[in-house]
Amino acid sequence: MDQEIFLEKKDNDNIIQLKDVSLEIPLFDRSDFSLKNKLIKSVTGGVFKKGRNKSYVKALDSINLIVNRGDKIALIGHNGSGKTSFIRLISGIYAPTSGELKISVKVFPMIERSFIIEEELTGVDSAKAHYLMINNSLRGFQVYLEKIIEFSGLGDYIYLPLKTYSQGMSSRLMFSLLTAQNHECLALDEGLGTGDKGFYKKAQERLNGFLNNSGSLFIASHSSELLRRFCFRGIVFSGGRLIFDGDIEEALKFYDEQN
Amino acid sequence: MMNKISKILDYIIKTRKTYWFTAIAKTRARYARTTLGSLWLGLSTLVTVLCLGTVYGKVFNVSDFLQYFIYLGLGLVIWMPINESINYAPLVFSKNASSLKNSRIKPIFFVCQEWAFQVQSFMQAFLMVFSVLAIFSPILLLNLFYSIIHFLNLFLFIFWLKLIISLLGTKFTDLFQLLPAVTNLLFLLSPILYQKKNLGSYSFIADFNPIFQVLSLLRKSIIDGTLNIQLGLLVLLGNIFFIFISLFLYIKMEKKLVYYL
Repeated sequence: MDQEIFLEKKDNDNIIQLKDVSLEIPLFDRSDFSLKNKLIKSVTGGVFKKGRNKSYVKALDSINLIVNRGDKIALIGHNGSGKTSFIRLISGIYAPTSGELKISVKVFPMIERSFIIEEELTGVDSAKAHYLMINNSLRGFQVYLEKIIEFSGLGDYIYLPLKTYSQGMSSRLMFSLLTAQNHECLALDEGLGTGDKGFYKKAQERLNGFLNNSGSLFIASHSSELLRRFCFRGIVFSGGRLIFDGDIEEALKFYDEQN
Repeated sequence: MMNKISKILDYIIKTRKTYWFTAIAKTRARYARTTLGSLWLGLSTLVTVLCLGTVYGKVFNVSDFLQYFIYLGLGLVIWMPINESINYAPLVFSKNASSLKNSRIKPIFFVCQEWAFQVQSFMQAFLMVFSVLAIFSPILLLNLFYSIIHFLNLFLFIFWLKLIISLLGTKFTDLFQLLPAVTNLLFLLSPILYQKKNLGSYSFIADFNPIFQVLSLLRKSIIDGTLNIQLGLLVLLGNIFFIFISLFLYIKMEKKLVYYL
């Protein structure tokens, strides 16, 4: 693992620093631990532990990492290796159980369908709520909405309740909402994988624009092609541990060799 | 700790337009397929007042039906947001689990959203019930000016109550099952349907019932046109104190909440 060498090369303008960071997710349902143990291992892949008074999954284990402004980082690993937990951690959804985490930017995650509003409300309501959350005002919303409708390709579906959307439509709207405005740092968890081919191309173009704006980017994906296209750095997770950090090609090669 | 509390208050103020909007949208969505829309909020309360007023007016052998309808109408319409704040609070975070697990939105946003929804629903129902009552007793319109501080107390009260119950209800999931029974009991034990004097030697139950105190001060100020400023300020101080307590509890639990969902 050449993590330390990599960090020495790029130690300027750090936006995220993790020093020996671990994340333990407690389990509060104490019934039938053995079945849960099996389930958790199959679903999350994290390391299940049972103490005297509590049980938990060690989702991330002793992570050391420095992220610099403008880094485009591929998060590589099999399902349950810790990629999503890592995104939640740097987005402020999870707090580290131990270690030191310093973040100087707002990381905007795109993990799953997670609109601010209830599913009975429309795509327009969702866009309005999202816009208000970021801008505290509706000034300029109409222009923003037109951009969302055009980019997402939803057309009149934008006026229908979210509960009527397919998974692909929801992803398109979510991606459009998140990327319509510039963010310092985006973290996408398979964010481009659910749209159709046409949208996939548009999303790639938008991400290209994002690259030119020197925003920082995390993408968790199983698509080597996607990761190669947008990332120059790759980190590999396994069982909640960061086992490789380096150039994207080397990271993908390392991951392939491991599997 | 004070620094953290001021940051949360700052967040609540900054996001106010968002949760106020999403609460309005929620009301709109709920009544989207009805002809009368959100007018149902007031109409359903009016129908309840009419039915209960007619029956219980006979049961309690009231001599002045108009006064009883005013008493009951205001009592019921004020009880409504308190009741819903308690009963639905344990579900606030679980209903928004996806957003909490996958976005940067702080949990308190959803408490504020529910609170805004209760306030908006209450205002709509109150305006309709009050308008009807004011037709028969126009003096009520003037009395409204005496009730401003008590309205404020009601809104602050349902905020911290909702916050505390939503935090505890997320951790102790049995609360959701237990609370409807508690609120039913509280409703029947509080002089909402009947006068406090009907409790006789048990009237101390009402004295030690904080929910009734908040409700009673507001109702009394509107019916009697009494300001009750000292009691109003005392309740306000109590509300401010409990807001800090609830925010303190929130800070303690904020980062753990996501694990309970």
